[in-house]
Amino acid sequence: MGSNLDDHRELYGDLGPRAAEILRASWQEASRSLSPRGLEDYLRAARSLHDLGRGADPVASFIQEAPAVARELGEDSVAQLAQAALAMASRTSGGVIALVIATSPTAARRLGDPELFLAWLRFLDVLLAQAPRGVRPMLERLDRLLGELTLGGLRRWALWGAQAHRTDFPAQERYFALESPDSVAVLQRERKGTLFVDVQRRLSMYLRALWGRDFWLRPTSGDYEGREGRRPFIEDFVVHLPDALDDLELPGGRATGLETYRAMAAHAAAHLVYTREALSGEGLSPLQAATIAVFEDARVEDLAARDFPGLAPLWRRLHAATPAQEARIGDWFGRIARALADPGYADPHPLVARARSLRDAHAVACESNRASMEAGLALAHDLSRLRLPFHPREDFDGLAYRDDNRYLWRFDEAHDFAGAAPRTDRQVRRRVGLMEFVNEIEVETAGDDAQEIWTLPTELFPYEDEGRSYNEREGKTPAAEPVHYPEWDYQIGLERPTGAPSSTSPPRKGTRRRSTRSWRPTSPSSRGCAG
Amino acid sequence: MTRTDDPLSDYRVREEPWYRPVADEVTLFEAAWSARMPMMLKGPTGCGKTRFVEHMAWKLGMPLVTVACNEDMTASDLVGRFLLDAQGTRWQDGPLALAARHGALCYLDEVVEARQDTTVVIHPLTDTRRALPLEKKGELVHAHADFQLVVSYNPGYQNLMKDLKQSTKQRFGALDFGYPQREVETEIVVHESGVDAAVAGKLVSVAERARNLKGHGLDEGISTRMLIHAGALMARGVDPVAACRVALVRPITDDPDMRDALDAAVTTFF
Ligand SMILES: Nc1ncnc2c1ncn2[C@@H]1O[C@H](COP(=O)(O)OP(=O)(O)OP(=O)(O)O)[C@@H](O)[C@H]1O
Ligand SMILES: [Mg+2]
Repeated sequence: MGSNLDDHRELYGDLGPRAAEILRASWQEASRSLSPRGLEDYLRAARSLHDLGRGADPVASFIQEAPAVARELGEDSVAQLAQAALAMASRTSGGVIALVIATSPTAARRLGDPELFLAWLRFLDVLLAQAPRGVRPMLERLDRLLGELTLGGLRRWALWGAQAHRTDFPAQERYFALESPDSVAVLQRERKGTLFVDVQRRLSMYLRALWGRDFWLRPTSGDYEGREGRRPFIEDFVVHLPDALDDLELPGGRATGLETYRAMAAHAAAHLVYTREALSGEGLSPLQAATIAVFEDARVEDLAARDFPGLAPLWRRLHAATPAQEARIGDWFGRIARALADPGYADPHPLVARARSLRDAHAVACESNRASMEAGLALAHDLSRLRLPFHPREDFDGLAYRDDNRYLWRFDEAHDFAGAAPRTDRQVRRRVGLMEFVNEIEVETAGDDAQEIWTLPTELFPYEDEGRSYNEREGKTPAAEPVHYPEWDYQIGLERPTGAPSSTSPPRKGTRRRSTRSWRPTSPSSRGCAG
Repeated sequence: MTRTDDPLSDYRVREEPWYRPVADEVTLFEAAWSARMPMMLKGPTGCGKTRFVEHMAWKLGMPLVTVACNEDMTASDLVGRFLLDAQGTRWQDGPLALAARHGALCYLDEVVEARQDTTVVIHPLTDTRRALPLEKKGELVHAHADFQLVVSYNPGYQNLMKDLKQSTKQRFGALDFGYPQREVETEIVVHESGVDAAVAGKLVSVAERARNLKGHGLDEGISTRMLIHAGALMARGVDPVAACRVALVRPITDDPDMRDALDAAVTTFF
């Protein structure tokens, strides 16, 4: 739009006749998909790819495909793609680099999320080191692979093949071309019932039908090591759901992945719709906070079911707690949650009866989350008499469709949906799984203001450990969650107050990394792949 | 034309068509009628426009001549034409000429569907001339004192090619017909389909869900008419979820994602 290619000549110079022609052909689409800055970066990246001297293919396919990636995920992903492609130059042929770029719109569309796309690029980097002959055949079948697997599943499938056929290149190629029985078998194993990207549109429509407004849904990738996805969570008004779900076998019959997705999405939406102000967690013990959350989950579901009665059975059938469960606080939460959700659930224990009567006692005030606060505080007192240890991270109600309730304590005070757009410009703090963690590049010079800080929930011991973890050697207590000040949100052009109460849980001490040495696990299984 | 003494006999409304007023449309229409002001009823399909005109015709004691407009319709279809028969050629008034000559309400349903060169024939009838030229016959019909023109128009069709000309629009007074308020719509569904108020209320709730998706994957919301269809199936013993599928969801969209979302919305009530 308005932007003239010739005005940018100095940015890209002479790309060779073929690339130059493709650039002219792609320019219009590019200028529609990219901002003026993004366009300049796009041209610079094309230039850099040209200067690699790996032939015209990588440049040509970048020029052609980058706009599609920008349309799917935004232009940051284009920059990441370019960077990744440049970094691959020392490890592989121009043909493979071109293929990585050519398949990137497929990856973008199937992954549906910029963070997952970045993880995809990082994974390719790992794979180039571990199974150099596998990358091409895999990319040639990417559409099918990502049609059946999540990124985590694909990664496990690929690393399995890389392990098994590390030195036998022909076998490696067959594995990655899905031509060997072991390849197909592992694919079957990793396959998940329902992929988020395949149902995202219908979930969004469903929520809009119910509440007449938009909700932002995004996929999150599970821990690469396990097949379990992450729990859903709500942050900055965005509902994050696992990137795939299996069907569930339940006492009351099978629940398809789509049904579970619907239960998840509707539960999260119920929080967003019926919780009007944040709870203050000040002075609460973790057990109190968690008990309050159990009541709050029940409260928003009750309100939602008042408007949409059919939601109650949708949620109810996902409850499986029984009176026999009593070993941990989480077991009790599960029983209480079930008792609150299901009037037909019989549980003779007085604690369960007490939970029900507390809920009823506060029913008049159920429009406000104060009711959950009162009921939760009272019940937490009774629960503490069980004298069971409470572990906030493990002890939850066991209900996979419910989010982790961080939302209850932490969101903008002015609950303004018009102003509720996903934020993109803040520091990302993530707690990650071990594999994701160790495969990451560190930035040695980064400090607490790094773009991303990842925390590992468990202690990490160096390979050459002497019984001392990284934490003991160089750890420091992390700073509290960043405080946010009112900011101008350029995306929506609205001033948004950022009175989000800070987290109630004390900052967790964990293994923190910030670094860029390429740092890979030196366990026997992956030795020899350091790049 | 069965009886020679009353050419409009076929068009008399003998029994009261049940109509549930939604706002002040009945009084406004009566006032417009007494001024013989041409009226335009605007609103989505199936929200009661036709029923309203029928009811008003009955109330005013006027015959009602209805024309469903379509693209293939020519001016002759409205005005009239010469017919060939044993005796030679004979002029036959079209519906518009019939209503103008003898004094009736003439209702042009979905007037945008007609081509613009067809619609202009109503122009002289809808200004102070109140006359209809029958060009082929060489006659100028002066409209009967009781003649009134009513047209309906669905603004939901955002088709520029099909919009009415300003010179047409500005000849009419207009009444907006939306979907009725939930209590009113429930009452209508009860009356027309025979289901009880609880079931009708749920049907209206389902319709509200689909109306939330208008412009977000649906071109048009679920109409009152469709709810009556669903209710009629239920009143005949069809399972509610199946009735909603057949009468509401399947007709309104072919998009599999949309069907899934709407089916799921149905199960939040039935
Ligand atoms: N206010 C109302 N009072 C009584 N019945 C109504 C009312 N609104 C809608 N209906 C019912 O809805 C049905 C459909 O309404 P109607 O045929 O008048 O729609 P319409 O607006 O003329 O649609 P279209 O533009 O498709 O012609 C009617 O047959 C009637 O049963
Ligand atoms: Mg919750």
